[in-house]
Amino acid sequence: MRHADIAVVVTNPEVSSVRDSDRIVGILDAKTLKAIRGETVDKRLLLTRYDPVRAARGDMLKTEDVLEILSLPLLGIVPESPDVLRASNLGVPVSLADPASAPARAYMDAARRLKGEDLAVEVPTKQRMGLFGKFLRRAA
Amino acid sequence: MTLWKKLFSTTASAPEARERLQILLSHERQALGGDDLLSSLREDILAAVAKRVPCDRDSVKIRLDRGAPMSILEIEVEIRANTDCRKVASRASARLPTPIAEFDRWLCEPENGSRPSSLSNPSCRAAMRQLGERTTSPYADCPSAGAPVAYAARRSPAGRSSTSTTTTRPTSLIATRQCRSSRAPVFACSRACRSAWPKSSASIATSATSRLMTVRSSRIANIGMQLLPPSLAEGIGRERPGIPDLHGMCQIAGAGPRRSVAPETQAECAARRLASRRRAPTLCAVPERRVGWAYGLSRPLQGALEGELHATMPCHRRPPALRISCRFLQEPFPVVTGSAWSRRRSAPSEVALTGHGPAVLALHGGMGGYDMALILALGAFPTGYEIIAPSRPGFLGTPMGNLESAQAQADLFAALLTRLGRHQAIVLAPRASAPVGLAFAARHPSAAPRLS
Repeated sequence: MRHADIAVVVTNPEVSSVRDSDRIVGILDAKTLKAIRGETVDKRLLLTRYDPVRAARGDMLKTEDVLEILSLPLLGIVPESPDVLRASNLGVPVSLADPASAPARAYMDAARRLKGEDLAVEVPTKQRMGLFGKFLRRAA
Repeated sequence: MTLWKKLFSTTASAPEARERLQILLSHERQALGGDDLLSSLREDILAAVAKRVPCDRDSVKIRLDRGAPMSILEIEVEIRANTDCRKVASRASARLPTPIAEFDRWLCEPENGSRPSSLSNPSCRAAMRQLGERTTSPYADCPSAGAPVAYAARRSPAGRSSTSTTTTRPTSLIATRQCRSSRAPVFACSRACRSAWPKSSASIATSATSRLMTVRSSRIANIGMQLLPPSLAEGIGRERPGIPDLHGMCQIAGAGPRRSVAPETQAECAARRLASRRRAPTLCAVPERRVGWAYGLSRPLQGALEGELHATMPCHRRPPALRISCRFLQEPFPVVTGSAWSRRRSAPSEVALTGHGPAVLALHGGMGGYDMALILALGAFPTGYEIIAPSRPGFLGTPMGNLESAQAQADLFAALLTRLGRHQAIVLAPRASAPVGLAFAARHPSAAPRLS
């Protein structure tokens, strides 16, 4: 961390995670070489395991809340998905195991934004299930 | 959870999570942000103080209150009595005869013509002599010997360093001269103590103290409760291991030691009160009048502190007005004196605050100052009250100014009470301060529920 130029702070929308991220941001501002020299480390926020259903219901911190508390530019929002667990069971990252899944797409977009592209952040929404969707969902 | 609740409950915990986070993070950020300055400041002050007086790390407390127009930096330095300082004390006390030596002599006087053999107990005598050595009149520079005087017995250094000390709380020994009886200091113990003593008269030590309690207390009507100092208790306890702890008995009997309030609490309360007023903090000169041995240390210490402070803090961050209050601990007399108000005409220069509880404004008569007021008030309200004992204008550290009339002085004390945040106080106005007390009751009736 000491020699970092850019930092990506990965946070879940829960209290302990945000606290730790805040602490890390403090350390980034104090103990890195860039901070000692007087410059600032470029920090971005990646919000992971975001569940839009629970956020709408009021169970989960919203994106705006986290951004307000941490005040970092948003890099991307990765939705909560069972694909991640499946991929880790197989021993590969989700972006390789299932590139079409929502988290994989979100990670790729975040990487492109980090490289400098100007993509709009896609806020995950509740997936609308059709009539067949209810019957034909793949078992996890 | 029942099925109904599962289906139909609307749990919105996210807003609460958000609030919690905001509070938590604001605390953490504040703690992290201010840490460097305060810790480095504390190190410097500790080094400055340690050059002159040995002290440990916890003796320096620093607090920074950031406010809109100004910030207040409060620094508290505790200096405990130790061997170096006691040398100064013993030199000071050698000038005056210690009344405890007189008490010693009195105790040895034959009462009914026969010398009591009980007092040949060497450990008992040794304990009392030890007590006498360590007692210093806090008014080493006041040559008055006729007035009632209060003595604070310090804990013996042996008790502090060894682990066998029976009590950890400081005690006080108050000797008063009674006009009625012979000119000898007198002790009184509560009746319950007396009854709790074992009846065996054969033991050496018991007879000494039981004589003390039964005979002497019969001479005096009712003078509050008194305590035997821990050194005496130790002496007796060593002699007779079966005797229960005197201190414990005193406590059970209700005549327990004066509740020793940690001086930090008081000073913190006072500091917090002052800080919350948000008035311009004045440069507090350490009061000229300092009890006993600490007098010689106050000036150079304050100068050193100020020098270190100004050297440490960069100019643009230095608060505009600095308040340094040096508090000298002299157990068991937790007294906070401060002349932070000396610049303003609206408050007396010297005030002693001690104790916790309902406020008592203790005035004094034609002699002494805050110390006399303290003695008189502590005689009347030993425990359970907060005693505010100012020096009246023209006495000790308070300048006379133009406050000659009783009405002006009454207004002054009303302003003092307001300043301290007390809206009601019991006014104790003995002797020459009676006009002031009456004027106070007349002009500020809401502030004085009781006048005595």
